[in-house]
Amino acid sequence: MNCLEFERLLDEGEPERLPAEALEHAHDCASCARSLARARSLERALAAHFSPARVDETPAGFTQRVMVRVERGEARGVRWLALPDVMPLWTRAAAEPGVALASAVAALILWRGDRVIADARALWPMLASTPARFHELMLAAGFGPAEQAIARVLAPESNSAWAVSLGVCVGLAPLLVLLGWMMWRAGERLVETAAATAPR
Amino acid sequence: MADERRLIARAQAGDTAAFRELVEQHRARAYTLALRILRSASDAEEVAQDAFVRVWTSLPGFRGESSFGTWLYRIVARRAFDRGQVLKNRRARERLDEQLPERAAAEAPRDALETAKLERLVAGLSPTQRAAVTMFYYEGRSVEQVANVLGMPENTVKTHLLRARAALRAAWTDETGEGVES
Repeated sequence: MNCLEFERLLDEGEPERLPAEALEHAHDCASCARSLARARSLERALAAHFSPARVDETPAGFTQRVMVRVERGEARGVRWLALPDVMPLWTRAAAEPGVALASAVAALILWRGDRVIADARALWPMLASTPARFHELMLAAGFGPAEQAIARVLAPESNSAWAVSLGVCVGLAPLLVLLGWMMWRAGERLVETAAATAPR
Repeated sequence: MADERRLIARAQAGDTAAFRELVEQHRARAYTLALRILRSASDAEEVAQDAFVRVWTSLPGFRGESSFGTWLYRIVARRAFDRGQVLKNRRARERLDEQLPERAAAEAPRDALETAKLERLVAGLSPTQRAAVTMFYYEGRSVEQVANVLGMPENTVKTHLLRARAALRAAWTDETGEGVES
């Protein structure tokens, strides 16, 4: 074994478990013997420094700050029905708002599907006349010019069919929902930030 | 240990008071581990907090294959390692320098000197090397466990350890000179 190989072995760690050949080399080579002594010294220092038994004190209020985050629901999400996570998945899934709403709609259709469809058909003329009613309402409330301005933006031709207006409204609906969701999230973040920066 | 199992079971059922006790029991080690990897008190606290919050989230799925502590410290290490990667190029860091003399003062003079020296040398390692070295001694010198925690191949961990050790050994030699006892 030469000095280079010996150094390489030291870099691989475990100076206490060097092969006999390496120890023999260190015995005969003063430079490698010093390297071995330093490697052992470093290994001892590293083991002591990174020992799990050696701990630093946490900053004051650490536990309280963790518990604030846990208790305000950041961790497991804020649920409308706070079911414990230990409950089976199907139980928790059934309590989710989307699942509950879909189940209610499906049950309604199965139970009184014919009546629901008949009611929907009866509602259709009313829905179809909604833009006209809205227009009348806006005029009555004194928002005529504003409504006309909006209408010009949404429907370039002032005498366009109501179906076009409805189509524009339907097209805009997802954007409005998205905007609403973003505002909701921004509000949540604002509350979180205020809670995080509040004096503890 | 039985007490801890009871606390875990209660926390799994959503008992925050039980979880608070678990936090109290493990906070110091979790924080210290993050501090060893990140070398920044504020980042270490954030990482340790995040890890506890993450543990609370995942607690219902904890089956006890490893001890709670091992599980927690691996989450801490993983998060600290990820944070270290993010912070790699950020120069303005809050350093521990102010804290070192305080802790060193409680130790024997020679140990204190060695600790301060080692802290300085470890700070010079790359975040990945630091994480690898920290976890290596934390995980009972198991490269396999370190690779598991840091999410990298064993050979990569070995390479990081080898380079870190070479760098530390060179600096250790320079600083200790001839006077180091074996």
